[in-house]
Amino acid sequence: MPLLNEVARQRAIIYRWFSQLLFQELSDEGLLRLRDKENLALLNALKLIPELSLLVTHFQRRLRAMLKREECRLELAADFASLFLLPAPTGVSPYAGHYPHTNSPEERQALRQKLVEHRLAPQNNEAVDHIAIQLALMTALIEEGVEREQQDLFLNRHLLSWLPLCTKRCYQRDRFGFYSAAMGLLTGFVQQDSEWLIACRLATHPARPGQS
Amino acid sequence: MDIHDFNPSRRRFIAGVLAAGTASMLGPNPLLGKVWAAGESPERWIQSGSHFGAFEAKVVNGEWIDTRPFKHDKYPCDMLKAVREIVYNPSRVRYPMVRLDWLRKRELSDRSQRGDNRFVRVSWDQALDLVYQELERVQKNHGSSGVFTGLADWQMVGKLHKAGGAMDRGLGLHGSYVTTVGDYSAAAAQVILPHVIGSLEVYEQQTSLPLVIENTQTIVLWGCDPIKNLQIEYLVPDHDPFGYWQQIKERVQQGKIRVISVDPVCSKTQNYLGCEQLALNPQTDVALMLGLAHTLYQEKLYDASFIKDYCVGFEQFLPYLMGETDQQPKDAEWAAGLCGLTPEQIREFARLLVKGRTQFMGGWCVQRMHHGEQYPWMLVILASMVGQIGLPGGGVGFGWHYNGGGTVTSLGPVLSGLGSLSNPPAPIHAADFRGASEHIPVARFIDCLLSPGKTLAFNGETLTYPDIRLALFSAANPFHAQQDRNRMIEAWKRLETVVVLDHQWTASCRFADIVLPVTTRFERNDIEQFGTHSNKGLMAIRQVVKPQYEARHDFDVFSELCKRFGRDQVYTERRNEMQWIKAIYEEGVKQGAAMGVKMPSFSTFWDGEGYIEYPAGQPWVRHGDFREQPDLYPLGTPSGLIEIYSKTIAAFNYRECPGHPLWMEPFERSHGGKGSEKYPLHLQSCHPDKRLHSQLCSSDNYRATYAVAGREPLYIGPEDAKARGLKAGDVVRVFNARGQVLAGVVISPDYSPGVVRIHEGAWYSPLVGGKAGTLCTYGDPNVLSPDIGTSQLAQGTSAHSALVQVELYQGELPPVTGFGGPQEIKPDTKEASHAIT
Repeated sequence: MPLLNEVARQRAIIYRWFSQLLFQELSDEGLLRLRDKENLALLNALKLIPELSLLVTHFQRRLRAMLKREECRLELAADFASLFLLPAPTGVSPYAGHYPHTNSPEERQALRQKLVEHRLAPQNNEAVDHIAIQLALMTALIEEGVEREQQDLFLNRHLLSWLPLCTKRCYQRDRFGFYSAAMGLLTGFVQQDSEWLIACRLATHPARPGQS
Repeated sequence: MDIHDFNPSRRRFIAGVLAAGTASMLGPNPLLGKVWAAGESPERWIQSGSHFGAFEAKVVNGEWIDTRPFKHDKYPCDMLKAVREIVYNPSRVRYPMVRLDWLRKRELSDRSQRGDNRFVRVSWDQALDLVYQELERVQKNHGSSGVFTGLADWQMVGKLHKAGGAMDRGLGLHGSYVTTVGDYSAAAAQVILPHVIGSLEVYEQQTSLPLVIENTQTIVLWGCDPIKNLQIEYLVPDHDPFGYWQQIKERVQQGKIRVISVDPVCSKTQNYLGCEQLALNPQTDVALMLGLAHTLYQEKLYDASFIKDYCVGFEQFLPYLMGETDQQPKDAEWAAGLCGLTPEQIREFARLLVKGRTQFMGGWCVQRMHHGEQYPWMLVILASMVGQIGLPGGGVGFGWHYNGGGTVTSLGPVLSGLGSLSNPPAPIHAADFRGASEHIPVARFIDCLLSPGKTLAFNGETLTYPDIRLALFSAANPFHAQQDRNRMIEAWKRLETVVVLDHQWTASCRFADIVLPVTTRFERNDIEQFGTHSNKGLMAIRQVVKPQYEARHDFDVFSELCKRFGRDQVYTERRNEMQWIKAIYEEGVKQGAAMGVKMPSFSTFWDGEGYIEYPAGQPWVRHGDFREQPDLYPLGTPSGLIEIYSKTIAAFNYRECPGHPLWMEPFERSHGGKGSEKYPLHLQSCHPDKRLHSQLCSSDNYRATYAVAGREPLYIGPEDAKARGLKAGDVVRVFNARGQVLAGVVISPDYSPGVVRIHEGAWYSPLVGGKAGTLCTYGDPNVLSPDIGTSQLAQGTSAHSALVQVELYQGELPPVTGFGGPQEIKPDTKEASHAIT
């Protein structure tokens, strides 16, 4: 089905974009790419989705303000470090295992299994339950054509179970606001994506009379 | 399927997604392809050890998921539950970090920003380059006195991976630097006791507990809480003492032994044994001992022969005791007034001391007070008057609560570990202290920062405070251990550069410029004794999980640092981790052979069970040799005897520590002493029951089992609580002129009126990072303690001369700011924090 394939291809691109944004600090090159035509197009595209429109606007504003800062790469690296590399209450843990719905060993085991299945491993000895790893895994699931129901299970079990709380904390603790805006946009996108996957399921298997 | 199969909302989603196009790469992909080997890392139990005990870790697919005690530990410690968390918790230091302003301006950075946490990640190479450049700059411009290393006193167990040893070995190849003398635990005792009884005492083995069980009629626990403190050891505990204390408990219950705990608080030991208590007023211990001594002398109950044959200076002490020098006899009446006891209680106690065999067990809280030297000195004198020093189950000891004191030491070799090089090349920079001292008492560090060049009297020497520019802390957390936190924050601004090595993001990391992540014990291989004093056996400490994130072993950190000045091969002696462990083991085999103890080959040991038990030793009596043959085994004092009066100390002419012990009012004291009108409560900040100092405080799940409303507990008696309208679970503000903290109320009848406790090691959690005077939201008692030396003799910590007031906290409760997972305490709830699953 060309439509669904095309949507899948684009969804994978979006997930990959978020995972690269959140994996580590942006280099000078990364910052250049962030303001290039392709990335601006991506943001404007997300803005077309009404539920994400305000979140994109907010992110774009923080992006413009961020680029205007003196030594913007270093300042942004400090924002990243303060938010994601330092523990609470300065920072916010980017590891799913630190959130109330699960614990580190359990979460890491579950994700490790998925990585083994898909023959992938984290770079730089990063822990497998890092947000960027999970987003990259979601990219892989989409690209490998994993059933949408499985994608939705993954999304709910490993992303939506903790992203809203994580994002809330980011808003509270991120002084400058670039990364918290990114997290807000990510959470919004993931929520919309989940609804998309549900809608797909319903479209292909409409409920029969008597079924909920 | 086409777009019309979806509702309008999803259609807009599709439209947006399809318009996204091809985004360019913002950075590397977090994942790369890997074919995982079949059967990689199945489930297994791996043996390891820690200060809390030996254990086995269940590891599944490289993840540590469960812990069980070591099979040879019959009394495993509850804190083992908390150990796994430090590997994975949110407080873990993962990467080398540099404070942004320091990265930009180095030694000219704005140091008032320390504590506000604006850091950037750097590579290891960059981090070590920065440390090296700083060492070079300071050695060249300021000499050896410009570089300081904090005491690595609670480094993780293991003969090879000793944090302090690794640092000294590396830095020593570069140049000289200022170090510390003494420690926060027993500074006063370890300086005075060599003068009085010829040895350190505190870190030494005690008379074997089986001999106490057999011979003693009365145990006197003087501010001593073995059941609490024997849980942890400097090396791996074997916990055997708990078996002996169980026997003592049985004898107490059978009425065969009396145990008297001299303590304002019903200690964990007292509750365990069900024993008696003499609840004196805090800080009046020396007065009580003088009253006891006076009674013994007056009633002619003291052992005059022992005094004559084994001591010097009694005649010089007597006029003070009897009131000839100051018109105040130190009798039971006088002592009773200060101690809050009756004269009859004191006399009865004195009489009890000479009725049968009495074993004094001195703890360390009482010497962590103003004039802390007086208490251990006076306790030795009291024990001398009782006359049983050197008898089985008699006399005095100061180490029963620590490191397995009272176990029977085995006949096995004691392995040394990573130490200094035997023939090191000349360091890059010659020693150049520029007239300043090479060491300073550890607790006087803040004084040193505030007054470089000032002189300080210390144990008969005159020290000159160095002008420190660069401070390195490894296996140390000065923002927990040092007193008077707010004074410290101001002083910290004097340091140009602060480097901290740790695996937990402590307050010391928050106040640093460069933070280097080190591996935990559980990411390393090593060997270690099973039992510190007992040396019961030797165990393999196996790597439980791989090093996490970018953490490195201290050994590798410093060898890489040495590479920058061409000394890395000298540092490593071209050995890797396992080669080192084998070399250390084989030294032990040689030692053992010389002692007639045969040990297996290293591979048999390491690849096999990984545990050797040495042949058992014989019960032993402390000071026994001295008592039997004082000429052949003199004490390490100038006279070779116990010095009731010390000519050496008298010659120092210290007003606060003259030639014999005396009662002196401390600068603040509860129960009618100085300062008690404004701040009526004595604050104890004893060693915790559920941590090792500040270690394990960041194990969030475990902390949740004892925290109250997410804060460190404040223990308070029912009377004091009622007077303040407090109930269990309330959050209170505990304050004095030095600072303020929040804590959670625990009401306990164990606490006499006027005495409260917050265990030390509670992580400093400022509401506003870097700001002196800010509220500590978790409950660090060293925000409230004074930074004043015990006296010019030991210049030790006076943490327990601290008065506070307590009140219910009004207003919106701030969240705890020191650490933790993402759960926050809601402002309007007073429930205990939820466990983070």
